[in-house]
Amino acid sequence: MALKFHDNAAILRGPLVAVILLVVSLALVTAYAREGEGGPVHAVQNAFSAVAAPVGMAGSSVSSASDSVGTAIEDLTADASTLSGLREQNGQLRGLVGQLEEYRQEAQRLQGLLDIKDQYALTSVAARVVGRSSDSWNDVVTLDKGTADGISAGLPVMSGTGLVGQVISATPHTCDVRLLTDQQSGIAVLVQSSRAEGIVRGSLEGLLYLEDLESTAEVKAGDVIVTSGLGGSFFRGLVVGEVVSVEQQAGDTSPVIVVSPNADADSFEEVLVVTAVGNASAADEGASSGASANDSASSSNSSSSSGTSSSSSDSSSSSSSSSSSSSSSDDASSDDEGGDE
Amino acid sequence: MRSALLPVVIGAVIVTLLQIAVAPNIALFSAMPNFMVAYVLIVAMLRPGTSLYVLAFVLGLLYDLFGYGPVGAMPFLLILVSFVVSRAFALLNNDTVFVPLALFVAADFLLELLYAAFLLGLGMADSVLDAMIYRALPCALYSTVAGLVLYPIARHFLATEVISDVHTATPRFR
Repeated sequence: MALKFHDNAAILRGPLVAVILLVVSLALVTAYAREGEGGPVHAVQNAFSAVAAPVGMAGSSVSSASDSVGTAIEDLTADASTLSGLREQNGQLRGLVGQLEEYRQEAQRLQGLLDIKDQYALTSVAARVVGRSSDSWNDVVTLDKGTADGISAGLPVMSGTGLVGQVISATPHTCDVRLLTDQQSGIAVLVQSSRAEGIVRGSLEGLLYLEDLESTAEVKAGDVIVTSGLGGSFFRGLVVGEVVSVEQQAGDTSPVIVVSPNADADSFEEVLVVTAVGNASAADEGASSGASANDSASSSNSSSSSGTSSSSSDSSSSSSSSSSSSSSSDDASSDDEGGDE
Repeated sequence: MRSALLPVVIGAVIVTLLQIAVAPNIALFSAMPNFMVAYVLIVAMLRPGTSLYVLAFVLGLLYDLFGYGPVGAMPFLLILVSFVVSRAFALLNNDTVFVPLALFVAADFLLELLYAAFLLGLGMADSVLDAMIYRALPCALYSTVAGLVLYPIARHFLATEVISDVHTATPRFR
């Protein structure tokens, strides 16, 4: 009898534990959904993200190190018998060229950041991307700066080509940025040429869609999209991207408008977390020149020039945008404030 | 008992590190392998028992905490899926690779689909079709590949003879 009872208890134990854990899981989901961003479950999640950031960084270095080791092994085993000093020297030179190329690209990216910082007269904190989301449902990156550097949730984040996302949470030394391409992202924007207002939303495809436009608004491919500042989440006049296609589908009242994002998560390593925009109107007026300057900044190091503002009501803004690249390196330190780097 | 659980725990630690450090760096077109899910499915096949549900809960919880999704969704789904997989494997296992492969594909896809449903229900995703095409399917396939790589390794370390729970070995459940 006692044995039978013991058997029954053992049979029931597994499912019982499963049911208890299922209930706990559901309770956690409910708590997560009901509480705000500052709730305890969110706080624990943020803390875990902060802990995971250095591990993720180590992972990326391990991945590049394994690439190097693989290349080295490949070189060594390719022709071991005729391995000569020339091969060794060649390997060293290749390494050096790779290193210099890394520096060159970094300098180019940083120059792009300086250009955009000057163009918008930004007060900002420079940060490096140290981690990326470990799940595939969120386009979130982790930066190496946090509340200790003046960063707080809600601040916009820019790369060398324009706006890329928004800070969603911050710990003392790291912060998480949800990219514009994330399906949960949405920002109030306006079409620069027609001033039509709408919302740019991310999607699982990694594309940006311009929605909620007025039915009379005219949008065409090539139009520059800038933040409108409505809602207070973003400063006004930051370049979000450029319209790449407008498709009117049969039966739909509004067209499907696709906006090219400024950059995808893999293409930037350094960013600026914007804490203030010095001259929003200047930024707005300079946005068209900024878009073309950004294109050139991304393609080559010289991003100067074409920023001759069409509306020249504010001469200082025009000049600041047009002369951004030439003065950027000299003026970088004078523009920096507080936590700027 | 403790020594029997040790390889499972060590495996859990390893897959957690893989998920945090390696998975983001080997993403293909925004599809990322889920090592944690793959490992729980492997344990569900090789070592079913009460500890399986605890493992599924803990790894699911860690996945949610290290990620940015709703905390609690992954443990809930992992427990359910691991329960189903352990039963299905006990019933179908014929010592070929086909059964684990089929179970991996089905369980991964089911889990990703249910996770998408969770996100949709919580307003964190918009379109079922997009979620299925752009995330659930590619992620499930990638996780299946990860699972098939891990399976022989895990099988080597996790002895299949030891079945700690009576209910999984009872014929009436088969």
